[in-house]
Amino acid sequence: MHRLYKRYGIASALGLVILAVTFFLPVADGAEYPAKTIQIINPFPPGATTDLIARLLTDKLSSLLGQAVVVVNKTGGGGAVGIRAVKDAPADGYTVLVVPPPFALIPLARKGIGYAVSDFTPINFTGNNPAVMVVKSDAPWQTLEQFVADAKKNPGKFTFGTPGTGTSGHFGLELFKMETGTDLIHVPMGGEAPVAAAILGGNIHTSIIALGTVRAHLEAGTLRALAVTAKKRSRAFPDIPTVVEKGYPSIDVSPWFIFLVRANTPPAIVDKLAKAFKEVVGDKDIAAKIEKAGVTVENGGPDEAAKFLAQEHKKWSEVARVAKIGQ
Amino acid sequence: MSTLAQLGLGFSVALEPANLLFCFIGVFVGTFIGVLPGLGPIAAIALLLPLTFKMAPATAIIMLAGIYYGAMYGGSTTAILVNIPGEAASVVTCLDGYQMARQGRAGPALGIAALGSFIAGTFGVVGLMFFAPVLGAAALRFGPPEYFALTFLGLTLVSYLSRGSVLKALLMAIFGLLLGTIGMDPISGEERFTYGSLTLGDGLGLVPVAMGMFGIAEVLENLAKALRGEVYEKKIKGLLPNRKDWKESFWPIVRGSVVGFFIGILPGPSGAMSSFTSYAMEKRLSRHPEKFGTGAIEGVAGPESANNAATAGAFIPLLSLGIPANIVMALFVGALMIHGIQPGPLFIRNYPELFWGVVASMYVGNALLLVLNLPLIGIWVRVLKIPYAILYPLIFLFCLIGVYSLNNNVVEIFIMVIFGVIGLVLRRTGFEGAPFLLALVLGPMMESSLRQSLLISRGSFSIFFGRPVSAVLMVLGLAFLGTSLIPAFKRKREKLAAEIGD
Repeated sequence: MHRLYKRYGIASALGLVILAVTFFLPVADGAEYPAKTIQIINPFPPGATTDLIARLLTDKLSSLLGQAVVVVNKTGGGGAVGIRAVKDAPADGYTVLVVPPPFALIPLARKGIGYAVSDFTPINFTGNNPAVMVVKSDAPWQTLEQFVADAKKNPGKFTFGTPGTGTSGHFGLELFKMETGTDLIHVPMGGEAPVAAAILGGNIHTSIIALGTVRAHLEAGTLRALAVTAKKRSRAFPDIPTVVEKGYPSIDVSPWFIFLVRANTPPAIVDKLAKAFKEVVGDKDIAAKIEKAGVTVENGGPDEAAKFLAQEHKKWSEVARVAKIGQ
Repeated sequence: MSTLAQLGLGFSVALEPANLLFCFIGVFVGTFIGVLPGLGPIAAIALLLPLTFKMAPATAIIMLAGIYYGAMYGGSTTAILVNIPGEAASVVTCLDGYQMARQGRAGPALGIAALGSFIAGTFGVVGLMFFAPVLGAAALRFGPPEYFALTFLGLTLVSYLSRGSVLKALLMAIFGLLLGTIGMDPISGEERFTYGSLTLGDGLGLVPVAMGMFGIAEVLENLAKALRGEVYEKKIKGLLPNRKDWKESFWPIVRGSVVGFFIGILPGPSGAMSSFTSYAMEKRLSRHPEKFGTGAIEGVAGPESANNAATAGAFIPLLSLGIPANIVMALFVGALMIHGIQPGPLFIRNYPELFWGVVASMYVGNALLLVLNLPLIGIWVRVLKIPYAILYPLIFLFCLIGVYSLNNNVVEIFIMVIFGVIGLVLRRTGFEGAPFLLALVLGPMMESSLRQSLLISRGSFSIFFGRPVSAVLMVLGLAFLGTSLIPAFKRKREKLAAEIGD
């Protein structure tokens, strides 16, 4: 028996040595980017629109860049684990981050979370997903005006569901309250799907929710949309008025999707990545698939993305200050 | 069109050569990721999702669904063989399944798990076929108050999950509820007991904790025994369940299928809840409850059937309402959306060939799984013949890889190992892991639904008794609580009385 243990001992020691050597082998340096697999880190679990967009792009990105591009879901901490992992990765363009709005909201809602929006350089503003304010089909309100008037008459009576405190839904609620002067009860439901289910079941009154999530219910008439919370009407639902038309132009809470790399990544690499993303997102076939997922394709380059992120940051910082989120 | 004619349409879709092939690929992949502890259907489906962009929508869903229910088949394998629950739903399978394996009855345990899964899976598909629209609407009636009442009822099952003292089981449940509060407060978003750890912000992961408390603790415990070579009975007694096994398992399978299907319809950790419920129910109905935990085949047959029926149930909110009950269902939404198909109230009417094709493929897939899994039993049983010096390091290694593959997060490996040590200490002191795990599953749901309900009712507790469904569940829960506690107290009183009498 002792001999047996010894033999395995030697074998496993040998294995460890081989493992260690391969691990520390020098990787080819950045002259010929990309020289190895590029990871797209999605800080949220698979299944959401962010994930879908990233996975739609990988195939064509791989063939354009000549290296494998893979999506890795690095979840935890409400998204902070994955975002921080990209911040801590080397600034060599091999770790790309894909994010929806919580990326800009987490640092506002949770102090000391360990990253700032400025720690990253955007490479592509892929698109946004219009959101709608919905009520159940048998609710008494036909229009946004009716709901706002009723809510003003009955402060603290109507419930508004969000995926959670500090999420984009919560920021949207606070913005809505600020702009309309209403007082609604915030009910955090733990996700977008539970919010939709709770409205359908008549357990909560309303919410602002991604159009993609409730699309089938608007078509079936089980939910009614009071307004699109975006600048333009939706192509799929041209009859739903926008908040701009209703006189609340700043309640723009459309979720968006942006790809970024670490700040201080060499400009040549940022440029190469940005060009590749622009071409892939601009591909007719891929763009059509993204639109089918309910997303309006923007395909903005690094400058447009940076400008847009700065605007978003300003807007939500103000909401956080007034609504005392994260204070 | 009648249901049968539509099913005929479904089979014509499911039996197309391409669909049949991808159905097989799906259940094959599913079986294997199910067997590997930790590695679950989410990672596999996410990985294969881009592949489906080029397929016809029916083919895509047929394959992805195959992975999902296939994984549930495989999930029981490591639970039975080496006491590692590959997912939270297999925790209760460990209780009796592993004891059977130690007695040389791994074959019948695996066999009844596979056959029970087949029967339950088929039952679930029948349920899906006939009742999808009706049950979808019923699921919507479950708001926060109903969820609270349901979790309350679930917690009263705790006393059935242990072999030893009710008091110890209750203590473990309280321990589970307490640890369930770790992480972000579901309402205010503030961090509780995370000590700056981002991973703990999401709460303790069920799978790392379950794998630690059962798998790692078992490995540690057996290190001592293994040197003396006494972990498993060496003689293998039969590869398939015998007649007596069948007789004992028949009703548990039937009951497990029904309970699992209905619990599966509700969003949340339905797989785990369904298997816990089935186990508790079998133990309560059994004429020899004392045998549970020592290798009773009913304790494997019921829960394993329940979690397979639950996977079919989970399709109902997705296909009839477009509301994904879990991450796997959310992935299905993505796979359909790429083809411009939005699951929702009109889905079955607008895409009959898709709905019926997927339903029919589940019949085919379940049959394929049975054919695939029965011969594998002979191979799995031989795993136990591997010398401990090799088997245990391998188990440990697979646990490490599996738990990392969940979220690609190293911290969860530490969580698993820490709970391995905690599990060992608890075992040595006569505490059991199952009540703890049930509480950890239910706790966070219970807390958020309680607080959501009170937000909606503006602080009034009458919301739990004013709504019919939640009122019934609350009353049932209180009744169960009474009947499980009173005997314990009574026994104590009798004992006390006897002592005084002496």
